[in-house]
Amino acid sequence: MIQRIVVIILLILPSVVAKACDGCGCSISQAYFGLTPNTNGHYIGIWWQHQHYKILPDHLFPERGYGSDSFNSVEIRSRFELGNRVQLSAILPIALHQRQRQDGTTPLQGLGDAVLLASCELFDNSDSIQLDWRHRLSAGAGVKLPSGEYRELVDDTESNPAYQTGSGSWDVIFNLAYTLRWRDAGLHIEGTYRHNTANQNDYRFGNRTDVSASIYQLLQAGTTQLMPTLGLHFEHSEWNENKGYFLTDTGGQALLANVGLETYWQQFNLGASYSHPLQQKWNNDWIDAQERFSLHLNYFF
Amino acid sequence: MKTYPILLLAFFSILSCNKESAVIDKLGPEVQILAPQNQAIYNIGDSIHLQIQITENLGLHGYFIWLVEKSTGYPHLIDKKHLHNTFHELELQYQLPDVPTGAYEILVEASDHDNNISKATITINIQ
Repeated sequence: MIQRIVVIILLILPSVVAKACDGCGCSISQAYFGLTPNTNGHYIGIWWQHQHYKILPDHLFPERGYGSDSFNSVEIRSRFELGNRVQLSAILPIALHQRQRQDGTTPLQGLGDAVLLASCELFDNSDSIQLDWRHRLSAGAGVKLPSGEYRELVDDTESNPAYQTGSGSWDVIFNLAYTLRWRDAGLHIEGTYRHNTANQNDYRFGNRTDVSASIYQLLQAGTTQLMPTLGLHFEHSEWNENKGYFLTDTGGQALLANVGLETYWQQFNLGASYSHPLQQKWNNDWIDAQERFSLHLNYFF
Repeated sequence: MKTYPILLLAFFSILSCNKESAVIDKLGPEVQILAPQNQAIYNIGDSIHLQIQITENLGLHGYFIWLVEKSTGYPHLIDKKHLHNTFHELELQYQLPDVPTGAYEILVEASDHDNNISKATITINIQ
């Protein structure tokens, strides 16, 4: 029955995208789902994510100086188990962005693009206490909905179309996650690919790939379980497209180092992470990604 | 296990649903100098009326307007601006600087965000 539900969801997806290909569609919300080592059980949580980008001076117009874009999102995240092998995840973000230029600060707030993802467990022996080495492999597919607002650029406005609360498009997300656990230590590898479609304004954000690998160690401190994590995150974004033309000053890639700490107490999980870019090339080096922070509180039930 | 081929089929049908591939924009902005007229004659200290139209399919990055001494190639900046318009029309009065008499070029350079640069020139004579 559950397999049928997953198949139905995945068969519905192409028809959704087919409509999007005819004329609407896209995306800017994060595709990264983060490390959720408690692989079983429902949860609902609140997440805060912060990303900061420095805008470098224009070589033709250096008098414009530096600028900065801060992308903040407060997200309601939840995951529900549909039987033993299928999980349904949802993310509803609220954007609280801020843009700073020489002529002032421009805030931008509103509902972001929601994400729905169905995951299917392909292999799992992680609950086997007799084994030292345990594995879990899951694959997922989902959609990013155009619930945020995408405003078409008008003449004489800044050209960064990513400074929006939504992309205006329906996008498809594929996710593959593998966890290897040895006693109380583990390795988590996750890859996410987002296939974007064009929005109503014939603007299409570049397809995006995110790959992360983290190692973790579970530590017991009384009734609290601590889990420090250390990892790498790679992200790649293709060129955006506008009215059938690639925008060659968009897209790029970055490699970030992550450090985080998850704490589990009773049914609660409090986590924080910090990411530092090790290597990057975004928008032909016009922008420079800075540190990222994330904080979340989940309640398992 | 029977579901996996169906999932694969769904995956590839989603990926195959894509618009015709985009292309790189190699078309630069279109620049028109409406005023002054080519071979116009001015005296030192005169004010020149400039009228320029720039059109760009995806959006401009900016423009530079130069007064260039034809004999030496020495440029004098008249105006420059960073902008994102697809169409920009400017009119301005430019007071001629204290320059030697002779032939000069008014050069307008406009660029887009794909590094396509277009130029338009006219010649004026300062006596």
